[in-house]
Amino acid sequence: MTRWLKISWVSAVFTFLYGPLLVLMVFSFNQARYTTSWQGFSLKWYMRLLDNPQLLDAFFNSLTVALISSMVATALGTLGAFAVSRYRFAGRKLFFGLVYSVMMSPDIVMGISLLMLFVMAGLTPGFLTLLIAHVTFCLPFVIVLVHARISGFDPAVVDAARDLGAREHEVFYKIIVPMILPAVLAGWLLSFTLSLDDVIISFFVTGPGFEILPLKIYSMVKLGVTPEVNALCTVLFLLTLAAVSAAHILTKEIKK
Amino acid sequence: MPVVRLQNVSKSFNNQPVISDLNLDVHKGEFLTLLGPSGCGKTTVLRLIAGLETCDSGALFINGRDQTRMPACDRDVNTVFQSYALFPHMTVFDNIAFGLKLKKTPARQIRERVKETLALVKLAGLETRSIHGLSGGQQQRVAIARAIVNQPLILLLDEPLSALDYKLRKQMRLDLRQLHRKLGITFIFVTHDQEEALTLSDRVVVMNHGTIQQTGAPKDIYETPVNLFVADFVGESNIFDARVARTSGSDMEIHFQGIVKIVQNRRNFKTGQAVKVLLRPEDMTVTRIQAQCAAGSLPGRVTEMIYKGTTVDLIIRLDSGQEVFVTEFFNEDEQDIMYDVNEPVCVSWIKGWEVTLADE
Repeated sequence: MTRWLKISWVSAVFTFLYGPLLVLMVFSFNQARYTTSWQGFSLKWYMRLLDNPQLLDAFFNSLTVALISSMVATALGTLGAFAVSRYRFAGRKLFFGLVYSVMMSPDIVMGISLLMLFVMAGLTPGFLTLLIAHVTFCLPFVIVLVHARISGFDPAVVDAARDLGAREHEVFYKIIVPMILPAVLAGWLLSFTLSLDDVIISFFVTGPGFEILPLKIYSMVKLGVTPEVNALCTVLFLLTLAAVSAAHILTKEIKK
Repeated sequence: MPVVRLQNVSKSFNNQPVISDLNLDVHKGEFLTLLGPSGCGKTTVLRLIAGLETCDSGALFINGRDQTRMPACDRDVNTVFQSYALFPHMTVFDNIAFGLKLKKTPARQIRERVKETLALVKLAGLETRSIHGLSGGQQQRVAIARAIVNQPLILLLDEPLSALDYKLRKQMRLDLRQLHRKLGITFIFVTHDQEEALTLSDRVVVMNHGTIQQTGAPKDIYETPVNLFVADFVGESNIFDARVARTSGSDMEIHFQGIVKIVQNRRNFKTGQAVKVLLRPEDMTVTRIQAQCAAGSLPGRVTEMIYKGTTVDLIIRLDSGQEVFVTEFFNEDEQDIMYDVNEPVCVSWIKGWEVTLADE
């Protein structure tokens, strides 16, 4: 009895979580347009995507911003995490608190405040403003991940390496880098997915000259959910899933 | 020539002096223990020798050469850390080979030496294991192997046994002694455990508040402590306040606990001087009271008797109110050392077994 209860409970949870996604993915292969009834398997909506230069543009713009912003955020965030964990300076706690507050603050607030900042700074909304915004909201996640890793290892290993004859650069390359690498990679992949699927902040800080995929989908949906959108969302979802799984495997490595 | 010489070394952290004007010579090949309570500066001395800290003032010589400013990586010294500090992302082999690889030792030689060293620490065949799969005792042995594989001049051990359980600790103690004998190099061992210090060392350095209190063989430290700190920290002591009533030659008469007793005067005490009389629990004897205690022995009552198999520990409340701790051994002549609680007894000792120190 309890066994059946458990199974139905678990299936209910999974249906609730993945049902909508599954429907979307199934209908991206549907032959028919404007209908929710199944009319046979087809890949034509995926083909249609490839024929749409605007869409492909938006896709490559998204990838570019996600790649660059995640890498910049990873580099800055790793350095930041080092600063917080290795040095004791005034305002260290405040810095950490601010990192968390950026992570927690609502996207809409972030979006509007960044827009105001860019306008005051005289920047035209476009690629650069979008990039800065994405780096900003990815940064805290990298700092938190890498910091957790650094505080997780015994500081005596650095002493041990020096004691065994390692010079500063050897300590860095042979001990510190390999030990924090999983966290850095996880932070990078997480940033990549955050950047790739952000809508709200991007909506405020990008300009008409630089369109990205989530915003493009958003505008397409205004005219109705077409199988084309379903296909696009499926691609985006799989991309994000791949990055998240990779990040997850790496964070698991961290806990060892 | 000493293998390590610390000359007037001082070190402070955040303006808090940790070591003050310390002088210490370590002889080649000896097993030296730095013993003291936590915060006494013993680990700092070790880290100074390793080069992981630098002296604020004073000089440090290793094998006769001034190495005060020499960085850790260039010193012929290796350390076994309290937390072991093994590299978690490496296998047992890579951990042990780390130092040799940095010295660009040929790969074949590295393999051989790692293998030999693993056998030496009784971990033969564990090369490919990851650090996470090892028990605490095994990790400890890997940490030792990682240090000694480099054949250092001096091996530093920072409380290496403190994380092990009692049985393993006893085993490791024996293994460390054997290792010391086999390798023939100098061991400098840091501990707060007096039993470890006494059983392992050729020489013990007792430290407190960043200064050396006493240096000597374990027997000297235990039997003739030079001050109250050493007496109290190493082993158990019963301490009596006394006053010198009369001196005559190498003896003196002291008044304490309402009695008079003749004891040895080794430190040239003067009549009227306040002294402390120290007695180890095993140096005192308890006898059943006959009518009245003999001259020079202290009357009291048993408040607790603890049977320990080879010994019986007695806590006795003297008539003056002070409690003393006495250990009695079972022996052939005197079978009956079991006492009842509240039984009246006399406590005494053989003249000369006491240690007398000036009242500080």
